Amino acid sequence: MKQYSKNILVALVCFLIVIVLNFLLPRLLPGNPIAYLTGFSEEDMTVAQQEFYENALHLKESGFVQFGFYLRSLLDGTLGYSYKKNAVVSALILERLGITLQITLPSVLLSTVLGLVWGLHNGYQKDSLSDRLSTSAMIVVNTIPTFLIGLVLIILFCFRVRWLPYTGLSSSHPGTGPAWLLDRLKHLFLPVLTLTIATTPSRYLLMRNTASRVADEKYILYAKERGLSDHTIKYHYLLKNIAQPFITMVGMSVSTCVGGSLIIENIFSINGMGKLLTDAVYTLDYPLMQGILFVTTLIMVISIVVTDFICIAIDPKVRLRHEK
Amino acid sequence: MIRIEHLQKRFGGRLIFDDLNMEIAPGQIVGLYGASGIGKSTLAKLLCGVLKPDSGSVYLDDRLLYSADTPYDRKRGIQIQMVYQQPYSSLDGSQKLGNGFRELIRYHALAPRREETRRINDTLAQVGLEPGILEHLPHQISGGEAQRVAIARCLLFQPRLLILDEATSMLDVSTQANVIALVKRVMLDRGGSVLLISHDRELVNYLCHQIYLFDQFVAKEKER
Amino acid sequence: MIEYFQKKREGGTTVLNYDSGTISAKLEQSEKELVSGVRFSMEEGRSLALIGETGSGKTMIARSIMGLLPGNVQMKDGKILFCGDELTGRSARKLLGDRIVYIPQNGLESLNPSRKIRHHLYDNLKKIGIPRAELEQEALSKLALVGFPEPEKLLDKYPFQLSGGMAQRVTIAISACSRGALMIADEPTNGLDDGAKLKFMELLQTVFPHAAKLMITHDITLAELCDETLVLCGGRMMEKGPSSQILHAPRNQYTCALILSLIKNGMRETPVLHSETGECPFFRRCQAARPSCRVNVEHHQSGQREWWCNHLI
Repeated sequence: MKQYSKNILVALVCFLIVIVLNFLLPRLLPGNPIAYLTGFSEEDMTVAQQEFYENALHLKESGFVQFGFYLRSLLDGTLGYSYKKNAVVSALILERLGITLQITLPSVLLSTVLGLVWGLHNGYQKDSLSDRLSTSAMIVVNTIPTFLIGLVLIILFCFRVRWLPYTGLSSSHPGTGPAWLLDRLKHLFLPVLTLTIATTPSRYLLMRNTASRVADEKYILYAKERGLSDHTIKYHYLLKNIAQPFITMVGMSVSTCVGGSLIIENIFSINGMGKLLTDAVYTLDYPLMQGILFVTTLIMVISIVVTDFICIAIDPKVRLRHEK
Repeated sequence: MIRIEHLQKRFGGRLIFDDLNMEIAPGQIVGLYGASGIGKSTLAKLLCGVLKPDSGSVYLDDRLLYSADTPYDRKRGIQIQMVYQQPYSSLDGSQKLGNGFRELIRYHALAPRREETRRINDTLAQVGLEPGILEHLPHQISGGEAQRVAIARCLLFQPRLLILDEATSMLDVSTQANVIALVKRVMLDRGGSVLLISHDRELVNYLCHQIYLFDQFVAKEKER
Repeated sequence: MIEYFQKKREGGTTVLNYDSGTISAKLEQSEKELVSGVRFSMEEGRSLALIGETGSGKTMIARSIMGLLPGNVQMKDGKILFCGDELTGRSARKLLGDRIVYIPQNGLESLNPSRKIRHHLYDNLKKIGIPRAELEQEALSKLALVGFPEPEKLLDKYPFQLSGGMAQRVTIAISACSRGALMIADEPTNGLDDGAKLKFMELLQTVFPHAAKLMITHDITLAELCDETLVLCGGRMMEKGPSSQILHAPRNQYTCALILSLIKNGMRETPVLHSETGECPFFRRCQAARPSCRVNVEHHQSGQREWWCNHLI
């Protein structure tokens, strides 16, 4: 249990540091914090507007009181208020989150499964024809930038043949029920495919390389000498001993699900989290940016802690030492 | 030549040996015999200066080499060398064997640059290996050859005491015979000594002039 | 209760007919011959010791029987018959763990560190078709068979919780989860004293009373406990026949040298005496070598013995 609590403690401390920095930075930078906290510069505001904002943001009060208001905004779920968009930050995020998740979650799932199964197989049969061809191909695909993959797919599927749409997540008149579902799937297909193609190679390569290293170990040879099937050896002998780095990688990528892919959303004109962040940056909407930062950090810290737990739990040596 | 007095060593709370006394005279093979894993290797590491005793002292030629309060005298301690059980474990798998030798010579300034090759070839000849082996990587030579290489590297220092820590237990019978004959030739014939650590009773009984039985944290001298 | 052993098949009780042909390894710039012309057969219930130094090719022979030669090693013109049927890589894979079992050299290193002992045994029990409901009982009986007094306590342990000796016995228990007709043991007695070696052979006899047992070893005392011995040097046969005859009255110079290098015989060394190699693999270190040994080696046969040597004793 001691090991577990150390991890949680470190994660909490990291998280607290981010929150405090998030609070301090706009107030410590040169210039009037109003500009950082609203996005409007001083010259553009009348005195009355300045007064209004200063009260709304509690800038006249002491540091501790301001921190108190800040914490309250985090805890009550509003995450602050975006003056540029005139909406509560958390509402803006929630609006877009679902859209982003429809693209990122299937991609993470697909690329993980593909990378795991294919990488494990080729690491086990290393230097076979399948391994040499696949690994070379994956190395090449790994270097292709995501936007290029997206654009090429658009050219192929949207212009060469007009099978799929290339903007948004729904057409203007999607219909209801199954027709709506089909329409949504058609719109999701290319973004998900692009993201999957872009992220599978790194998972494949990690799995293939760790598997090929361990495939020479004595216990794998003994498993073959006992006549066990390739499937049993791959999934019951090889996989568990090499899972940890892979799980860590997947854990990391789960946390990027929330942030969405700026590039994909840009190319496919989708109004997701990525677009939200881009807008916030262009319009200097600091409250929104800070809100997104908070959510992303929270998810990332949670996923790291969970990943660590899982890695510890599956290692029998560590688990038994703790149970003693 | 080597005298060990009242040596004690603990790991954490665990006692490994307590009040250990031993003497190794020149020109002799002394055996340390006992079950596996009880601390014989710990003693070997102590003699080489890898570990520190909790109490007691070690004398080389009647001068203090090492004790709980005095640090290991590295200059003289280099006359004690060790060969390990796994033939390849002391060889760097990514380097050609020749590089390993040259590295040792340069690091310890055992010979001037122009004498390096001659010194290495002489040592190889002593262990019955050809200079061509220097171009090989460790995985390209057999276990017996690897032990000879390990012995050759020890011989670079012209040691007075060679410790064999289960050094032949991974070798087959004829290779074992060859390696033991080699060790006797290069050590005993020059007045050096050998400390043979083994759990092979037959080997210890046959080879050793003196046998210490390691049991209950102490080494007791045994009748042959 | 499972039927461990096949009754006699038509045509005799020969379990294995082995002809190595030539087994060679493809190295970076050359091809190295590892085994050449090794032939032997094994019968039900009999034990054969393959004796040789490291590098004599004995491991490769075992691997070729199991169809697990390393990627760069190939067997040419060899023929292996198992119970009368030709043995290929694919058929060997099906027979392994079932009719052909293997006991590895180092039990601790051969077990999967993240898999319980229970599942190691289940994997092989499932392979021979034991139904799910009986798995635990069978596993317990196998562990009891190899001498564990409280097998229930062992099932849920991981390999790193066992000692070397216990791990070795577990691998024997795993090999007992089979209907083994051929058992191959790789250097099984490294580090054991004579008493333990005898106990080991007795255990094997208990677990595999009717199987043909192939012992790969360099240990002559173990060979003495086997019915027959085949002495290998440089991948070639030097001497073959009943152990009692070969090991007490050897006819081949290499066998003589091996026996003389035993501790009880004085640990006689075999230094390199000649600078060139010859047709006989022992030529370089043989004290009785003559010029003819460089060119060819004579084959002799007397009763059940065969040996290859130019020097008549």
